[in-house]
Amino acid sequence: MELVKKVFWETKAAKIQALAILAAFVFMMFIPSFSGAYPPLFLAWVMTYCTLSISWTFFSGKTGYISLATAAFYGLGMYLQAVIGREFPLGVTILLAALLAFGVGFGIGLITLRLRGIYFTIFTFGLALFLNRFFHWYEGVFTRTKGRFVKTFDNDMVFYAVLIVFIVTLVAILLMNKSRFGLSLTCIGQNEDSAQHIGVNTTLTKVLAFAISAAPAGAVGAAMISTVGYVDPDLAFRMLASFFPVLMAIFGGMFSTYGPIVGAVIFYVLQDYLLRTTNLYMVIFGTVMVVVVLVLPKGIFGLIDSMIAKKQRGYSGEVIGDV
Amino acid sequence: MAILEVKGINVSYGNLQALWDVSLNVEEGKVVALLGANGAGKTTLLNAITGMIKSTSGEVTFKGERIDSLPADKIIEKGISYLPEGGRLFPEMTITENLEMGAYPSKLWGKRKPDLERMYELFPILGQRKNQLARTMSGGERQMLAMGRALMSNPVLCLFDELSYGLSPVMAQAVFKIVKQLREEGITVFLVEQNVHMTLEVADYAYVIENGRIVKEGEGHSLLEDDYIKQAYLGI
Repeated sequence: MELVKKVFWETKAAKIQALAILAAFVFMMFIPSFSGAYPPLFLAWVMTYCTLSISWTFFSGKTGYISLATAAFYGLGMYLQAVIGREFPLGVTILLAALLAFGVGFGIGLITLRLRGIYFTIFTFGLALFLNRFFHWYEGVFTRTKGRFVKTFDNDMVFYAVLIVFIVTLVAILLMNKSRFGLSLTCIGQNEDSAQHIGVNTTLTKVLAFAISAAPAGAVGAAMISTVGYVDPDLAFRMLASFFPVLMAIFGGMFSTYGPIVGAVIFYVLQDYLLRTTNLYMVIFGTVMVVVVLVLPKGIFGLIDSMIAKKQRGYSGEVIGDV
Repeated sequence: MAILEVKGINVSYGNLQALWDVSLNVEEGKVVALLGANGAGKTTLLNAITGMIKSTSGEVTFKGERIDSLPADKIIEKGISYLPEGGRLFPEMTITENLEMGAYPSKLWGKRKPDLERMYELFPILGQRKNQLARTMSGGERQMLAMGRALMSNPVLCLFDELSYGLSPVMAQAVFKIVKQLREEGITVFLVEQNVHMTLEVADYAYVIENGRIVKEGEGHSLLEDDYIKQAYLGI
């Protein structure tokens, strides 16, 4: 309760933040009633990318343990929808997908998070590849198909579901950022030995945070695959889905929760536009990415932030912590 | 009464034995020092006491209770605070955030605000720069912040590793003054140091460690007069 007050009430910036999130949520709720059929689907994809990148940043941005397992959790959510989606309402499946991703994340974390640095990254990379091969093998041997049909839901319904997942994830992350738990994650990223010295159970903290950051990926996976209607291992466990959150977070700026959101929105809109208008999508995209990393090491949000700081104080200052 | 007792600790890194049958007592309310050169095993002993590394044999008791099999976070919760060599701050966090994180153990987290004010009184320099990032501070200020962070956990026993290392003589004096102040408040301090002269002036009791073995012990002032200490460490 004290935490809620601190993040959404105590200061002027906190109140603006709370109001902005609430206003955005209410506005989004009404979008399907006046828009055509396409905008809700488009926005659902945008919010999916946002959810993937903020949940990735919550763990990897803070701790510096770069995870490439997003595709694994995202894909598991999709397969859960394919397997049990017909028996349950969409909301229940999404919740179960989040739980599944949390559970798998916890298990993987227990095995891997004693590893430090690059070994962790390689393992998570391997996890998505392994699941891809495993599902290929399973489908080939036991179900004798390549993919599965998935029960489709109305686009508006998926839109509402993803909106709720996104807002819940965002609010939870904003709260956790200021909590003892979230701060101890930052400490682990800054100096893991010191975190241990102040009494942080570093292994448990990392495992729990990794599992928490996996859950939203499972949830949006379960929601979005029902707009596609079909899933196969190559669609579910694409390595690109693991790289996107990393790129979006770098693109937008990792030091704030809003950076990855800005990154994800621009990223998706740009991708959507380029895919529709040119076949040089990857060429243009890669160039933009290289330029951003070289020119804006703190991402687009970092640029905006230092411009505001320059205007207010007359010089571009250090960015300190979260909003 | 001894608040911390170390009995026959042996520690090895692979085939290399770093500590050989080390025993010592830290009396409650006293400043006790462990002196030795680089590589003598000082930091290893602190790591063994705080559960950062496991000893191969021996006992560590704190307030009469065995702690040598506990994990690091449980040991900190018991009221032992560890300031590692060089402070090891959280560089991208502000002074206030660094201090607050010192109150990480769950019992203390709720009451970290009043403790924060106490630290600003004890270290005025920190109070003046609350929102400065730790990595932009000078060496002496960092050591102050590291001490502040260690004290935020309301310790009964402080383990300080190389408090004066890399500090100017003036800063080192200031740091030792705070050690004396802690003793007046009833906090037990176990100091690990290379600065033999300054340490022995403050310490009530001291041990000397060489090549992983305790070779000498005695009252602080009496060791200052000791011929061996004079020859080997003070260069007189």
